[in-house]
Amino acid sequence: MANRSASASATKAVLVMVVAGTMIFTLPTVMVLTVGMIPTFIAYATDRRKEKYKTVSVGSLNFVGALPLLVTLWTKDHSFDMGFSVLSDPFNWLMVLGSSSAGWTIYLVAPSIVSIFLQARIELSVERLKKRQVRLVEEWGEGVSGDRKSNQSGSSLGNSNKEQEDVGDAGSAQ
Amino acid sequence: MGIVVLKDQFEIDDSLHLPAYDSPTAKAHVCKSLTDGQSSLIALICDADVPMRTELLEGLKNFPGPGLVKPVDSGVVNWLPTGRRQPVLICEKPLGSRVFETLDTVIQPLSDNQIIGGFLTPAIATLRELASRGLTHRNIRPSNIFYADDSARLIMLGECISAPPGYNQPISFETLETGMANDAGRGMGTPSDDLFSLGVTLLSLLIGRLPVTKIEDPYQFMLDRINIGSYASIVGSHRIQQNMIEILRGLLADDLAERWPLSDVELWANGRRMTPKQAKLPTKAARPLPIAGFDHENIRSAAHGLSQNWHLSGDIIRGQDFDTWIQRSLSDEQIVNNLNKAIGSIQAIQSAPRAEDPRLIAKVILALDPAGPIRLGGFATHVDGIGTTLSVGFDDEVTRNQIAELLVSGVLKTWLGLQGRVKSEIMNFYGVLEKVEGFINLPGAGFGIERVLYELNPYQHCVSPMIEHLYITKTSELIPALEAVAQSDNLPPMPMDRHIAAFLSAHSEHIDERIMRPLTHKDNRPADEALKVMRILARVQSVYSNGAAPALCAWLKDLTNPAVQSFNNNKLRNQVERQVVQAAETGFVVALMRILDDSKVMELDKENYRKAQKEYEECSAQIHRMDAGLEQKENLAGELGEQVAAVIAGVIASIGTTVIVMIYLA
Repeated sequence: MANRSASASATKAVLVMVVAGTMIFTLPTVMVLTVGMIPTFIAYATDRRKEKYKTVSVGSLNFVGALPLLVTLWTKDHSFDMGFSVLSDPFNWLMVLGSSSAGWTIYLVAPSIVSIFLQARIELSVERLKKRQVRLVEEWGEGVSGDRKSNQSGSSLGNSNKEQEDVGDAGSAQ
Repeated sequence: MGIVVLKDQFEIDDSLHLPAYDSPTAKAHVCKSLTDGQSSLIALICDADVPMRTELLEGLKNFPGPGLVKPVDSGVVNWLPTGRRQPVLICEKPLGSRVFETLDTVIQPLSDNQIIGGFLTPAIATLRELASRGLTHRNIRPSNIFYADDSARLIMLGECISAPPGYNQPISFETLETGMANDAGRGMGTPSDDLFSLGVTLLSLLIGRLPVTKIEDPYQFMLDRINIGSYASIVGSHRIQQNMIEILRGLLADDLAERWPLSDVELWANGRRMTPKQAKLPTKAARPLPIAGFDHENIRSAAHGLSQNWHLSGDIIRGQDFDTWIQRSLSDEQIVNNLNKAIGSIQAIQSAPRAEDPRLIAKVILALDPAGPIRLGGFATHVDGIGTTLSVGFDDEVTRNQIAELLVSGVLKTWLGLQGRVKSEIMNFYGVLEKVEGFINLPGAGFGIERVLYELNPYQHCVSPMIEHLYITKTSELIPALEAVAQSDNLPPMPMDRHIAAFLSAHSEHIDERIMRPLTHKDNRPADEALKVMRILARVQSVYSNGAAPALCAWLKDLTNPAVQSFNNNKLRNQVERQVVQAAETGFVVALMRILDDSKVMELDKENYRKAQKEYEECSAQIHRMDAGLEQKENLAGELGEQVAAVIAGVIASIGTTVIVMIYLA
């Protein structure tokens, strides 16, 4: 148990060192990404759910909006100057903020649409169950619903198992 | 009014009454045989309330000689004048008139020769033939003898079937033993009883009227007969020719050992003459036993006195006087032995509880007079007369209770213990009595006093109020009778009652107690009762195969309707309803039963009903859950919507990233 914990800590340390090293060598990218992903940070800050659906929704689309900036940086000049130049372009900001707002839109609209679907599905199921109940009542009578004690107040069936005077004509004698 | 046909063999004209041939319990009508066109027949329409001696019909077949009005056949006819079915007895019509129109009629006395040649000789032949067949007439009296032809030479005995033995006999024509019994309880008796009646009838012919015309006090009359002998009491002051005294003394002797047998009568009729013997009177006690103001000087007199003063007898037999009278005044060892056998010692009587008085008195009377009738609670009957007594008096609750008490009291066992030799017929009857003792206190339908009635009277018609008027004597006639009832407007509550159940149990070998037992347990649900009845009637109808009974089936259909309605499945119920209607139309109860008595279908219906109830409950629960879900849909949709948003955004981002990368790489 102690060995496994120590091994996890070591892996974590190695990973942090690798990321930190990478960030040191890609500082313009880190700068553009940090600034471009501000809407995601805001979403993260306001996301109270453990699963972080809001962050995922806003962040994934925010990343798509920021990706052209990074590609420009990587393909033209991977420098702070180029980073600032990209960040100063309003069109780029429009792309970054537009995409993140699309993420926000999806996040805000989806529950309503899901609610509509859910309601429709429940109502359909209830309708189907009620129809089944109606059929049961039609088949078995009101008693099946428990509205009256029982249909069986009448009887319990099947619990067990020539020389002839003209008696039949005797009615005429009466 | 018109012609009624019996068994396609006899035409009876209900408008042509023949009062000259009436019996006290039967009206005579003109009758014609359809097979041979013979019109010298009479049809006696018998009283439905009085049982006939139907068992004699078989025994009297091919009866020889002209000395008896011979029965030809019997049956039941729809009798319009009374508006019911009545038993009918077809007899040969006597060619001459009745000798005595009524018991009060006075005729020209017959001469010795006329009596011996015209009456006694053929009567002896008739009685001999009856005795050889093991039968008795028990209906010999002046008003039941006929001239065999217009010449009035030959006298024949009248019919003996339309009423129980001795039922219509005045007590002066009965022996002491049978005369002390109730009219219906006199029993079939012996040839000796017929000879006694023959003797009194002979005396009537001799004097031209009844020797005892009016009996003011039957009790006193019987006491006189006991004390001074029947001969002295009946002949009284009538002047009798010397030559007739001998036979009259012989026939009217009270002591069975002294009464002439048939052979002696025959010898006398053939000319043998002897000095008349004085009648042997009962032994007198040293001092009399007073009962209700009468002094009783002999045993039989005391027995008769005790039986006629029932309310006093308990105190009498418990008293010291009675013991002293038995032990000292009577000095009869046989009687003391009888008393010991019947009740034990006198001390046993005195220590018995008061509630036992009726049984004790009956046993004491039997011990004093074992040959007399069984007397209990104020009524008296011979063993083989118990059935007819019950039949005649069934409507009287007192009679019913008396007979029920007699059967369970143990008095019958005492009677048997005190008898010497008992005829095999009587022993057979005693066997039936022992059998019915077990039924009498059973409460269910098919048992009780009704069962006793039908067990003791094999030819008894069913006296159920709903079918009594149809006079059915065979179980095979039950379904047609119920069909006739079902066609009437006022239907009884159920086509079965205690009488019908008892009638079936007693008279049908195909209906055993296993079939009748369910009726014992009364069910609160009428449909269940109807189903039980239906099972029995289905059995009866299938056993006797006596045709369809659609009205009865319709009646049963209505009664079992609640049972049909108890099917839970509507479709199944409708189907069963249709099947029941179709089955009822066929007129076969068994077809109805097959539908309504199918336990598998019923069980399946119940099981499916339970399943349906459970399914309904589950549906309700699901609806409830969904309604609750609908109320919380915003919460549910919030989380699910965010998941969906993340997924959609992720998918769009993946696609967008891929596109952008490809654009810049291109």
